[in-house]
Amino acid sequence: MNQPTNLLPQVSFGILLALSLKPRHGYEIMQQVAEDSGGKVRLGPGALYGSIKRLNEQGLVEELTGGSQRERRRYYQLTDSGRQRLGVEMAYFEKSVELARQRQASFKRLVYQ
Amino acid sequence: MSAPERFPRYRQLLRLYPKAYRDRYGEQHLQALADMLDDQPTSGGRAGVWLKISFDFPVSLAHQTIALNDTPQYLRLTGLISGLLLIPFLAALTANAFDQAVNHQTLYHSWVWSLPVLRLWVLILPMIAVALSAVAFLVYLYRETQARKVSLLAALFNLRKNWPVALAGAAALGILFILFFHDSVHCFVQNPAHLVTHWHAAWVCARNR
Repeated sequence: MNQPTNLLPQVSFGILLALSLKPRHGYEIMQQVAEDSGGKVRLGPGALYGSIKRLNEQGLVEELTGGSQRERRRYYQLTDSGRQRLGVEMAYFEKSVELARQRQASFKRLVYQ
Repeated sequence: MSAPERFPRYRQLLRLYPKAYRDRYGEQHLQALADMLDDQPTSGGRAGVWLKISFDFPVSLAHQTIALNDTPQYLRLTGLISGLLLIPFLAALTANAFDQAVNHQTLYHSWVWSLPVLRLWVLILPMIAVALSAVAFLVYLYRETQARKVSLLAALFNLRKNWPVALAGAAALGILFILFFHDSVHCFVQNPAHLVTHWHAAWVCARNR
């Protein structure tokens, strides 16, 4: 997979993270994103499906096929590319947090010396 | 009762989305809304859901409508620049009309209506706008007909794609047309503005005098 040039928008990252454990339908994704963000990101149907459409076009998320005809809800899951992309995004955040910790420690040393 | 049957008004609103998006995600919107409302035990909670929808829907609609737009970047940029070049013209006329309505006077003796400022917003900027739009439109026609093998007529009237330059160019051309063929053109140049706004008539008058 080529290294992406830009970070994903926060909502898209939240959706990938919500789908990392298991396939989910729309409302489950909304709930999981809200829970993962501590209630800071609450999606409406428009924001959710707009992001899912983009992620689907990028090949990061796909619709689960083979559900029963009676089930109205559609389930979405990560593709292999989506899983890899989530890993790239998480590596970036880990590196950022590590960098922030180092700078915080340097700052404290400077202030309290 | 199924989700689509429960929210007929919301379902009607969903018709505003582009067809491809609506066909694929419309029913899921309704289902998600039904799930959100079913999860709220109180009427206050349900009102909160509808409040959220009232913000979520227009933003999402705007995003999807813009995303559908397949206008090339150079046409959008040229259309935007050409449009911006016409703002001084519209602003000056609006300010003049406003001054007439409120103060019962005109801006004809102000710096806005005196040369060379007048020449700039009345003539030069609209002419640049026309030229820019025309060049971009010709490039677009060439690309569509040569590279994408679209017929000339189809490319010409594909307003969904060429609307930025078509609109800005037509507006600029309209301004110039009105200036040059204004029916109030007369031989007595009472205002320096007439030298610019009715330069052709002024030139004819001067020649015939």
